[in-house]
Amino acid sequence: MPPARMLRSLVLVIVGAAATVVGADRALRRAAPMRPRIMEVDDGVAEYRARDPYTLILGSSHSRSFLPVRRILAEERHDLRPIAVVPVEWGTMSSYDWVLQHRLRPLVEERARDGGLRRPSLRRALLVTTFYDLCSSRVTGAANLPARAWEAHDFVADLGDGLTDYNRNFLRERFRQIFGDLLLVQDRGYETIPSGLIDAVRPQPPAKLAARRAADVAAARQHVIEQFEGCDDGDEKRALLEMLDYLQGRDVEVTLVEFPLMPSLVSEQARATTLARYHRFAAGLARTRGLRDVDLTTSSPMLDADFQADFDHLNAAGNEKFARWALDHDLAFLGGPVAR
Amino acid sequence: MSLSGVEMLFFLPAVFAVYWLLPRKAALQNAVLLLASGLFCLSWSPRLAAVLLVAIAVDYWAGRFIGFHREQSPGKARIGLAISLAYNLLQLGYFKYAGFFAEALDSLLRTVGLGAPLPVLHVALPVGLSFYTFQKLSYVIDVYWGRQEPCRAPLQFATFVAFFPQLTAGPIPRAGDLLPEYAVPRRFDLDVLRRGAGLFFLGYVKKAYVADYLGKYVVDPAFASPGALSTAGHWLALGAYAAQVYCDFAGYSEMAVGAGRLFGLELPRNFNYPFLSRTPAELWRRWHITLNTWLFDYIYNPLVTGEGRFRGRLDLGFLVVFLASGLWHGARWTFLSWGLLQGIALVVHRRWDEHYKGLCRRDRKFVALRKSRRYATAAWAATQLYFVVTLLPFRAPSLAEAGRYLLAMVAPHPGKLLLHTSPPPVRLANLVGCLGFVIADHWMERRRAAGLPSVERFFALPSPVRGAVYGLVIVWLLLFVPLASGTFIYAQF
Repeated sequence: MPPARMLRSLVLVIVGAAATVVGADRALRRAAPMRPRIMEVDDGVAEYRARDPYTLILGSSHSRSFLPVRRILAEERHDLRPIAVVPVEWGTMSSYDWVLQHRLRPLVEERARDGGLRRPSLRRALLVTTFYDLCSSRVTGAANLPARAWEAHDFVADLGDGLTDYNRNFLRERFRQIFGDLLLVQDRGYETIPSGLIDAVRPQPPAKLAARRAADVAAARQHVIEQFEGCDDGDEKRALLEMLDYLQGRDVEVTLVEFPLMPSLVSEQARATTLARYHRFAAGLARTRGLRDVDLTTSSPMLDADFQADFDHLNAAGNEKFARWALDHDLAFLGGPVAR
Repeated sequence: MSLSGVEMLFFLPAVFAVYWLLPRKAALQNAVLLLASGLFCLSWSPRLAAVLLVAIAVDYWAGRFIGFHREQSPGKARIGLAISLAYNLLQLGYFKYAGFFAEALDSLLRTVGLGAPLPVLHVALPVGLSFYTFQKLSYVIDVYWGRQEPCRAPLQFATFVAFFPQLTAGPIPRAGDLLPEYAVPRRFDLDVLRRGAGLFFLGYVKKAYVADYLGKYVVDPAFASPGALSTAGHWLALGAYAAQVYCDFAGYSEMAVGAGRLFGLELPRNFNYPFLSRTPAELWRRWHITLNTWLFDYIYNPLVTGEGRFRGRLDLGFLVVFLASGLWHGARWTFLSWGLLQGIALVVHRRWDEHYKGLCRRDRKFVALRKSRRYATAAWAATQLYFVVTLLPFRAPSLAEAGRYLLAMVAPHPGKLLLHTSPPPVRLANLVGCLGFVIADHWMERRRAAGLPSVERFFALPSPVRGAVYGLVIVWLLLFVPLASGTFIYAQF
């Protein structure tokens, strides 16, 4: 075949393949809708860089529930002091500490030409946590910092022992970002497309769905109890203390927020074991380190219906409800000056 | 770094672009490939890259030394050969077998009551060591026997040994075939590139989808808790393992050959539809071709045609070769047992063949029987059944486990057919997809070999239609290729 014809054929094959993938991707969205893009560490760091915040909200993925808090403060209560939200998906204390030390600290300490701090406004920090944040990596698996928080130089610096299953996550995330518009790529690991297709072809009876949900809730409830084992890790505690040392050393008022759990997951046994131990630890820190401990684990008005299907994160309506309630109650202090 | 890992999406296009954008001079092209191979090697472990570098230097020197002396002073050439053999075998022995022999000796001493514990060696195996050691050994031996001229250009030799697509899991190319390709500039040929990309894609499907899916969802759970499976479940898992190991290794080899073509190089073929084989001998001519031809060329033939005790003792030669093959796969009793079983199969088949030839001489009806479809089917079934069942020690963690698994395959056993927990339609679709792919792959080759149209029909389709088919395959892969697909079974050897 002459080269020109071959090239034309090759281009047509590639175009045909690309069109099929894109077409299938669009069609599959009827079975499994595209996930909305969620805020990640990079976004939070960019906010910090741009806003010179008065308040830093750092912590688990639940930190995203503070976006409505920020909006309400600004738009309805006219508190224009900037707030930066830095959520670390699937993290624990050690990953929040890593983000603080490696991604935020350089911005906090960056100097202007005149020698003064470039961003001098930081006065308040909220560390958004749950008992899970003291789980050791044996329980959680290694926190996925390469995907969620690394920059290229962190990846390169980690190549001393070659490419590993851990640092390869950095490349995997870049791949996901390149094809961020494809549901087929975004759904890898979640597998909602196959189950969505099955449900579309043969919808499950409501009774069966309810039974499945009840079984999942029971398993999650049991999981909270079982996490009494392995969720009081010394390394994770040290990471939290390191964050406190740094923030308090810079005269930042620190609040530890124990985020609400879905009510159905909280059994009496979990309340007396896993949750009580974490609360004792947080309350102890509040006494000894002079920080504020806000325990919302079971004291907020959040209902099961306010949570997403993962039983962990609040849905949009739940976030709104949480924000309004918290600003009128335990987080009302956000509207005032820092305590001295 | 792995050929099927996500990193290849970044690495391969970058190397490809640099390689073809630079002026087409052999030295420059080799330098680009060597640099890329160095990065590839470093991505596994910087310490182990040093092992490869020294190994290249030793055999480059040995080749030159032997070539210089082989005509005038054969004694010196023999010394050069001995140094290379000693270096390569000792290195292989140290990294691969030291722990095994230390443990075996330790257990022997304990048995006879001399139980002073020996230090247990835990040595990290340099990736691809078994492959490139055999590759270099064949080069040095061929130079010694005058079948190969010594390579004068160190860059050429280093690229020949370290070329990254073949480095971790073969194929094991011969210097006579491949060194000449490195000596000349490679030209950009769209047809070769197209065929290379196609083969790479086909290999990826085999490896990342069929092998990894079967491994993760069918084979690994079955071997992790065999008691939970029914008798049929045991058979299904073992059959799936045969498909897995074939697709893992053949898939990798095809990706390597495909990647080679992207750089204008033709690596040797390593698999030729082994599940079509009707005899053990045919199977081993179709499975891991480059290793088996190596073993027969450098161990079997010198043994049975040489002047030593093995001369003419073909059966013993088979046993030695397959024990060596077992040992090559790893220093474990399971691999040795597997090798022994394959050797026995060849011996039994050879004896049967001779016996049957005698029958044919006595009565021509046996000739007709041998040519019949019935005979071919029985021979195929016996060969494949034996091969699949004898994969048990290859997969099982110990001989005792293999024995237990075998027992559960023959004794009626209640339990599940599959331990995979995804929804039934997904399970069924993927089992059909994986096993169907392997069957279709072989079936098309059978049609091609019989002179019937097979893949040509597909390639005769209009380009956009072919593109649409590729697109659908990509959609399927994105849906079902397991996450973290990338490691190869054969990378551990």
